[in-house]
Amino acid sequence: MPMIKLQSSDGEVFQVDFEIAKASVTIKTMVEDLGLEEEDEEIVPLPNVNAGILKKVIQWATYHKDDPPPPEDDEGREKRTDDISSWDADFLKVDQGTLFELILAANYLDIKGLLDVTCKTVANMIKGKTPEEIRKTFNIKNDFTAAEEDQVRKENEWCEEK
Amino acid sequence: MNDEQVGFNLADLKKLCNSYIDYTRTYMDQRNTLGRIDEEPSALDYDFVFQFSSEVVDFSSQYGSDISISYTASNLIGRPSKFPNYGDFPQSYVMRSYGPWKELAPSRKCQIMPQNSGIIKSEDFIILSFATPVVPLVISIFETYTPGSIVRISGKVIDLPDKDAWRLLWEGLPQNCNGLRHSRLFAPKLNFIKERVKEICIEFNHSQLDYYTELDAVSMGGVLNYPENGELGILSIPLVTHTLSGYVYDNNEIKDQEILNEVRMPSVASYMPMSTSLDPFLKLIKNIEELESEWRNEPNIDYTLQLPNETLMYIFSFLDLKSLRLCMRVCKRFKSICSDPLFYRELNLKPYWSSFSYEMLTSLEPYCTRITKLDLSWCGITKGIKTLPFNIFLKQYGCNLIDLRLDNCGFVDDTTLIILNFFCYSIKELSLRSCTKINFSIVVSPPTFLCQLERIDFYRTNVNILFLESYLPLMIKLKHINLGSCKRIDCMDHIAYMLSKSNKQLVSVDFWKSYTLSPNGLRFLTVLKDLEEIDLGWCLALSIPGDSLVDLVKSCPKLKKIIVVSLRGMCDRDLLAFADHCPLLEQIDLVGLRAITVDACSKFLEKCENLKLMDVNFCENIKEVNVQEWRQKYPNVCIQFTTSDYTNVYHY
Repeated sequence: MPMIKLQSSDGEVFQVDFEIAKASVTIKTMVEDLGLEEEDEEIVPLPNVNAGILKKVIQWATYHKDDPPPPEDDEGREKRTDDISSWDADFLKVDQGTLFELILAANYLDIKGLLDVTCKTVANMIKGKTPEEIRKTFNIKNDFTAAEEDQVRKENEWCEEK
Repeated sequence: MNDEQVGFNLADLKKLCNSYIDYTRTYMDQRNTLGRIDEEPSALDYDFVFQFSSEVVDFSSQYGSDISISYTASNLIGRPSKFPNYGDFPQSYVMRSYGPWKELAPSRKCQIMPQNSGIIKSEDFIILSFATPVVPLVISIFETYTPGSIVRISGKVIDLPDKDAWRLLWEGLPQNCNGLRHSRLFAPKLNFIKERVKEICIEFNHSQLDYYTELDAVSMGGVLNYPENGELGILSIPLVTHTLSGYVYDNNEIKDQEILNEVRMPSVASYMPMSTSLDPFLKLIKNIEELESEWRNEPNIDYTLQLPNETLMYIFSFLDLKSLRLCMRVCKRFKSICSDPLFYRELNLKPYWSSFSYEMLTSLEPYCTRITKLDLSWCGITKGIKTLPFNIFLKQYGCNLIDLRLDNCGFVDDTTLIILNFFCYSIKELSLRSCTKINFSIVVSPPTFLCQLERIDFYRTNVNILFLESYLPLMIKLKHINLGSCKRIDCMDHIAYMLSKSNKQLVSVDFWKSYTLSPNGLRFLTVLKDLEEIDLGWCLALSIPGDSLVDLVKSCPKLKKIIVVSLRGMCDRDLLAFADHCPLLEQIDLVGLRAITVDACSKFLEKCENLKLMDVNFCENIKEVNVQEWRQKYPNVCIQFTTSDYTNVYHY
């Protein structure tokens, strides 16, 4: 089984089965572009991902290595958020910083499955909440003036009716 | 009555009722003597009205046809006629689908903006009116067959001037209660409102059902006025029991008549197994809540700032419309992201029908510049929009629309068709189910709008031959057409001829309850080589099909779903022809085919390797023992067959 070496932003090197690392389109393309061979000692640098997050990403990709490839067309794809597996839900029981770093890593490494499941987790936290509750959950500062806030509230009055 | 089937026994039930009434009395006495109520309430204030529905206002589908009385919505008017009997009764209201079968058929429609439907999706609705407006305290639905599909009850408030306001009274997940095999008095605990209600809307989701659900009656109990002093306790007491006979009584004296008829309302969810398919979602919600509570102890850092706009957009793309619009109010950055017209390319306002208004549509208008799919089904219920403003909206934003659904939209009339004709030239899918206000009297010249059409649904509309004659020849790309229960079409054979001339690429065609389709008409359809689904249910002129069915299936080898319910003259030869010529067949409805024999069915099952569903109810030659044998031999086929054994066995 061919292996590949990945280096995190803080210098740690991880040896990973290439079949698993291929879940990342970014790594896959890099390896193809660099023309790496099986026996090469070349290390793939990942300057945007630290060791802690890279470890989690590898853990996720290892568990999902036999998943069917994600569907190509985005158009007709279901936008469900209730299809997160219990393994993924447990995997994502992390602090908020880690969850968002995982989103960034999935985005940078181009791992669609991981991006989907992390983004759906955040979407589920937004669903059904009032603006104030959303701000509280994510520590977002309300930067509207009173007049602006009133305007945007008025525009969406129907959302408040049950 | 079979006690075991029911799960509780009659003696207990009566005891429970009596003790409850006794308890109620004592409680009432106590309240009065202890003087907790400052003033003696006038009898009128607390008059409790119990009534059955008096009128059907609107509905989305029914098994029966408008010109019949069997299995129609109007059977919900008045007292129950069969309850507490359990079984299949033509005197009940039945809708058109159950289980997953519609979604597995070639004619299935994809959902518009599926993230907008929430967990509790509605497939059908009915609106019922009552003689006396009351503050609703109990609504009971008498389910006499395959109960479990009610997911939402709303009430239309009458006391607000110039506004049709609907209030949510109850909602819950659909259930599969089929193991119980007995009728159910469904009376969930309602959200308390103070306003009076005259009309209620019941929404259904049939996905968990094993067969069609049947409803016998709907009652509403409540007080004529909400008491000034707002004492709720006193109101909620007598409601746990109520009678089947139905009468008006006040709180101080429950009339002693017909105590035996009193049924304690089953506390709904308590003994019904929750549908397992939805459990994962509930677990998911729990997970999220746990996670959020852990986050509360973290430092106050806004991590969303680290995400690029595109990633936030991706997250927001999973939101339903309401959540998206609430997200706009969080901060300026969120507002600007949520305003992107990309989010509004598909709009599904059907889940929000109860609060739909012109204002809702206008508030979304600025974002609709790239809208391609729009579902406004049921949005006509509130009468929140008139024809003209809607037509103007359509004129403005309709040019990119490829999918438009307007089921049960009373504001859609012939003028809307004119707008569609001139401005919505990209439309591929159009659904006008139960749009009874369209007369299809204006044939616009030159007709243009339907040229791109791939799917059209005319179910229960007034569409007529003249209209179809003008437009069908233009629909050269048409793949799906639904002409079910179109009672103005007085010669369906002619339409079949038209289809055979201009729409040879049809994949599915629905003639449900087309009484004028004869074997001659059916023969025209033999040119439809791509046909995968045909619904000939209750096409009574086909009762003696001759060779027409054989000819049809011989030339349509791609057929996957065939409905021939009630074609009484259909015989073994036809069924075996299906087996010989349609190797892809997955679903077949043979209900009421008296001539079909066990032998032919056995051969049919053997040959149709892809079969998933076979309905042989009311096939007189088929016996329970045959079905049991088939079920064992073909475990992957769902064979619908009901013995009459437990019909009418459930008596109090």
